[in-house]
This record gives sequence, C-alpha cells and structure tokens, in this order.
Amino acid sequence: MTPLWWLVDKLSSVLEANERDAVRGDFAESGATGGQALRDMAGLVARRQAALWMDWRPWLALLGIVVPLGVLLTLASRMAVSRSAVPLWMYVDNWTMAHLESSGARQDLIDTGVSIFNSYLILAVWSWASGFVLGLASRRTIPVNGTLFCLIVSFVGLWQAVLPGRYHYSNAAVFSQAFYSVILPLTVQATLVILPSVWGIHQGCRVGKTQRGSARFSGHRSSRPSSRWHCGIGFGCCVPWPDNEHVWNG
Amino acid sequence: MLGEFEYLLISAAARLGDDAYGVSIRKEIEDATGRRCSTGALYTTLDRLESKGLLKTWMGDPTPQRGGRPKRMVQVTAKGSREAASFYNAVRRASRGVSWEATRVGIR
Repeated sequence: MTPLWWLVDKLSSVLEANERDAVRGDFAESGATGGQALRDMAGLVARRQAALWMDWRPWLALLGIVVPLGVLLTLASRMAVSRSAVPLWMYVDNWTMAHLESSGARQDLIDTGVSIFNSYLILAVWSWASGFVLGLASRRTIPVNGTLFCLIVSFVGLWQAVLPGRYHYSNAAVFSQAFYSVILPLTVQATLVILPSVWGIHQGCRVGKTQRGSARFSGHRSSRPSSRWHCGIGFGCCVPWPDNEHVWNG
Repeated sequence: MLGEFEYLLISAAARLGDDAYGVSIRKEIEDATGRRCSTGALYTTLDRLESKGLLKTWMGDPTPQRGGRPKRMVQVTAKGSREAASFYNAVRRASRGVSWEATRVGIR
C-alpha cells in the first residue's frame, strides 16, 4: 500500500462503514490513482464533517470538553512540573550518597519520589480520561475536535514553557535552567498529557463505536446519548488531584 | 425546487435505470456537463436527496471488479421524478425567448 492509499484508508475510517465500502469500491472500479482518491476522499470527509458541525452537539463538545479540559490539563501539567522541579533539582543537581545513608533521608527520598510519581500518574490518568470522554462524546467529529484538543494542549503548553517568569521568581536557581523551565514541562506535556489523551480519544471512539453498534442491534438507540454524556461528565470531572504541597517543603 | 446539481444527479440516475450507482452516475454527469464531479459532492447530494424522499439508495452486491466492495445503488422515486420534471419545466419556461434557447438544436 502506497503512502497515498494509506492516507485514503485512514481518512475513510471516519466515514460510516457502508459509505466507506461504496466509495473505496468506486475508486477501485474507476481505477483512480492514489492522488485522485486522496483528493476525493478528503473532499467527502470535509463535507461530512462540515455537515456534522451544523448540529449543536459538536459545538457543545468543543466548548464543554475540548477548550476547558485542554486548558485545565495544561495548567495541571504545569503545576505538577512546578511542584516536582524543585525536589528533582535538589536530588539530581545536588546528589550525595548522604541521601541514602541515613534512614530519615532515605525515607524523604522515597516520599518525594512517590509523591512525584503519583502526581505524574494522576496527570496521565486524567489526560487519558479527558481524551476518552472526548472520544466517546464526539466520535464522529473527532477529526476536528481531537485535533483542536491536541492543538490547545500543545500551544498552551508551549506558550507557558516559553513565557518567562511566571512561576520562577521564588526558585530562580531551579527555573533559570532550561531543563526545568522548558524541557521538563514540554516533555511532561508530550508524554503525560498528549500521548495519554490521544490514546484515550482512540479508546473512547472505539467504545462509542461498539456502543453504537450494539445499541443499533438491540434497537435502543434513543437511550444512548444521555447516559453517555452523564458517564462522560462524571468520569471527566471526578478524577482527584493529589495535594502534594509537602513536596515544596522538602 | 431542486438545485442544479440535484437535477443533474436525478436525471443521470433516471437515465441509467437499474445501473445507477456512484461511478456510473458520476460518469453521466461528467459526460453531460464536461465538468469534473467530485465524490464528495455526489455522495452528500445523494444523502440529501434520499432524506427528501426523491431517491432511494441501497447497498448492492460486492463485485470482484470493485475489490469485493458493494455499490451504492440508486433509484429515483416518483416524488423525485415529479420534482425533476418541475425543475425542467421551470428552466424551459425561464428560457423562453432568450437568445441561447434558439440555438439549442446544437445540443446533443
């Protein structure tokens, strides 16, 4: 499969199964080249997406999930990085074996490590959950909403990382280093926010598709949207965030 | 009242009869107009006309020629025929007495 046909295949996945088969069959029958097929498929997908946005639901997903959760996740990521940067700097840049020699120092090291791990783990889980809710609530408009979500998370994260002096003034020794002020935040943003979100979106879309299929099969389509929204809103907003203030005091 | 492209699509489907589906309709429209017909325009218009009850579509049998994929077959409904006739009559009435109407014999 050439890259163009691979793209056609990926693009066609947002269409309904019947339409996808019919259009791919048309391409095969008319002997379309990869370029022609890609242009036609992109046009069809764009028209389908535009039609979906005439409804209020994608807008609700955009304004109720994509924008607020995108910004919140970025802030949460920044907060987690800020809270972990000082102890990380203390241990990494000022490492001595004394940290392991006394049991009290060892316990402090373990507590700090666990606290940082917890905050990063919860950030990743929250990101995954946000992506999952988005994928579930906005499956058909995910090409637009998913891209916007990732763009918001990326750009707000990048903006925060390169904006000087927002969290740094009280810990200039730490945040004057590019690693703690730019590289660590962007790495956390990419690995613990964007990747889990994209995975969550993928999972949410799959579950949404399965639910839709089974609801169709059992003839209960009308009951699906409301339960889906309640599940999504509850799942998205009830994820706790740890109070790891003690990390600052270490 | 139908749109221009909707009329072209219904006319092509009516002319093709039992052989009306995506590729054949597209070819008919391109032959008639001399312009490219995009898959996006074709399939979104098919949906719109079907939702208005002017067309009926269903999935045909898969064929080897299409890589084992089915055709989306199209049939014009009675309501679709009436709408198309109404559009055609309106165009004819609107064209009466205009300069290009006199030269229509040149059209195949």
